[in-house]
Amino acid sequence: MSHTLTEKIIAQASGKKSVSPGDIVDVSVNTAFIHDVFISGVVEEFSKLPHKKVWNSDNIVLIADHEVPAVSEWAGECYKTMLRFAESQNIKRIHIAEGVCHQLIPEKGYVGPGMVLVGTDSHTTTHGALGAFSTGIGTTEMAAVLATGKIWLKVPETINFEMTGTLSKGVYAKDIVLSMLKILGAEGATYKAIEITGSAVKDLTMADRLTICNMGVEMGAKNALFAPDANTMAYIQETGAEKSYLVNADAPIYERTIQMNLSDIKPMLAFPKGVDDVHPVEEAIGTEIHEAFIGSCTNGRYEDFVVAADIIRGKKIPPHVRLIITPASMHIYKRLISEGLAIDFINAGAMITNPGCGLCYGKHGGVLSETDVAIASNNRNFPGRLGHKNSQVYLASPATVAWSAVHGKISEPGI
Amino acid sequence: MAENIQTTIWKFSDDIDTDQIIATQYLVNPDIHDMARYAMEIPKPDFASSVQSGDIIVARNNFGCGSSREQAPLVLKTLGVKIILAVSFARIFYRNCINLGIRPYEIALSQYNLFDDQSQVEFDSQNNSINIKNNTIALNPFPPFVEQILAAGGLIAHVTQQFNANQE
Repeated sequence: MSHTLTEKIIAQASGKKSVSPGDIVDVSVNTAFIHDVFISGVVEEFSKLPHKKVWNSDNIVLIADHEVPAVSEWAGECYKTMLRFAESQNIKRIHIAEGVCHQLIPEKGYVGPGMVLVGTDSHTTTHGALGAFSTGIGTTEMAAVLATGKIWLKVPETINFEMTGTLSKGVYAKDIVLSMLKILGAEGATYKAIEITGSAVKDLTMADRLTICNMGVEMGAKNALFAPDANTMAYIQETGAEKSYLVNADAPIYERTIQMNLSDIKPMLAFPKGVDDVHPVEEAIGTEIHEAFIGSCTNGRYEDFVVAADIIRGKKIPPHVRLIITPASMHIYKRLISEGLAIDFINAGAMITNPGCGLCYGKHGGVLSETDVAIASNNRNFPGRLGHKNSQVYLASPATVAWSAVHGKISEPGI
Repeated sequence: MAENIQTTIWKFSDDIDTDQIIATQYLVNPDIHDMARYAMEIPKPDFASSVQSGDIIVARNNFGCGSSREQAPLVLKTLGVKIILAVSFARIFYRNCINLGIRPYEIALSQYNLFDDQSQVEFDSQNNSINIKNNTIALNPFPPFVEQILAAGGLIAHVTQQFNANQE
């Protein structure tokens, strides 16, 4: 029998020898996390269930990241609900304003290869970077997971992206995933798994893989993942994540395989029409921008800021541009300070905000006006997503954002 | 007793994301009925004020994409939507519908093209089909496992039933 990595993980977690695409199985969850926006909804639904206690308090993570610092009169109640629930259920993994969920979870070692992880945020696909099965779910479903530790899953077919070649200068993981979106579109992987394989994978860092898996959901995917390798094991050695769930694919049969030669990829942008309206940066060069954003669960990691700081250091951002830097966790923030990158950004005229999700969902800390044009390193640009419904958002790599910020208009890295 | 029900179609195109179904700024509203007044504000401003209980939403591809917010299907349920037909659904939205007891049916593009916005169709609950322009669209049954959740009225009721059954 041949099995993809996703099928192997689901088989292991459902206690079956093997599963095939289309099978509906009951799966044991290893890690379940809830973020601040949905904590009230989850707790309310959980309270309707006869189960008084969660299935396993050690496997649950509570993270306040979307509404920090408080953005409304409601946010403070969300934190309190979270704290009360943690106390009553003896949940120790609670993090308020320490970072964005999709950075904290890998950083704190809450996810390891072969695990099943579910979260209330749609970008939960991110954690496939570590070789886990990881997907987003709704609040009612989360309440049922908290009660039972289980979730029903329909085993997805897998689309394989086989990557060869090496990235050119000025081209990054974000350009890879935007290129994947250009091929598949916003619905090309709906209900399906995406696995990234090929000779180029060994050169992709964990930060690169987190960026790529993060946007798997933008193609509609249920999950997106990389097989664990030496990079993965070195990363979880540091985070202390559980290794015992490790499984490997077994002569996998994919629904289809898409070949990508990374040497052919150029710096890319998702144009304001939507995440899958992807074009080379060269098609938009010269477009005036008013806000530039480097941060988010897609591209707010230390490696991203090193790239951006190398571009921005010693330069001044023009007065019509607001450059916003949002490290994805306090751990990353501290490194930006201790290694001097924070000063480089501030001297160039940037604002540095606390770790959080506010800007990326149009809530606070960079809301766009009707006539604003932004270039941003996050993952979504639906109409109105970052502010006014007529505002325009181009999605790009941190390098492209940094070059564009320095020039006050969309610019190609290194040009 | 099963009967044929006349109902109104609300037709949408591709990629109606959850931000369009209910925008972020309304999520803080603690009253779901109040929040529901802003459903589909951008794509169809008159939807929330005009939709009737039992009306059917018909959409093309990738309906419900974007954020996992459960308020999206919940505002539709609050407004009385019990059936959504789409050429394809985004998966979190699809699961959220089932978990809330809304029936999300996939239809073919050729079937989607039969529908006109605001037209009247006949829903045949006995045969689980829709009569439109001399055509009958048979809605595909759900797998038994999913039907159990829908029959219970949603996941919370289903998990409660299972828990109680295990206690006996």
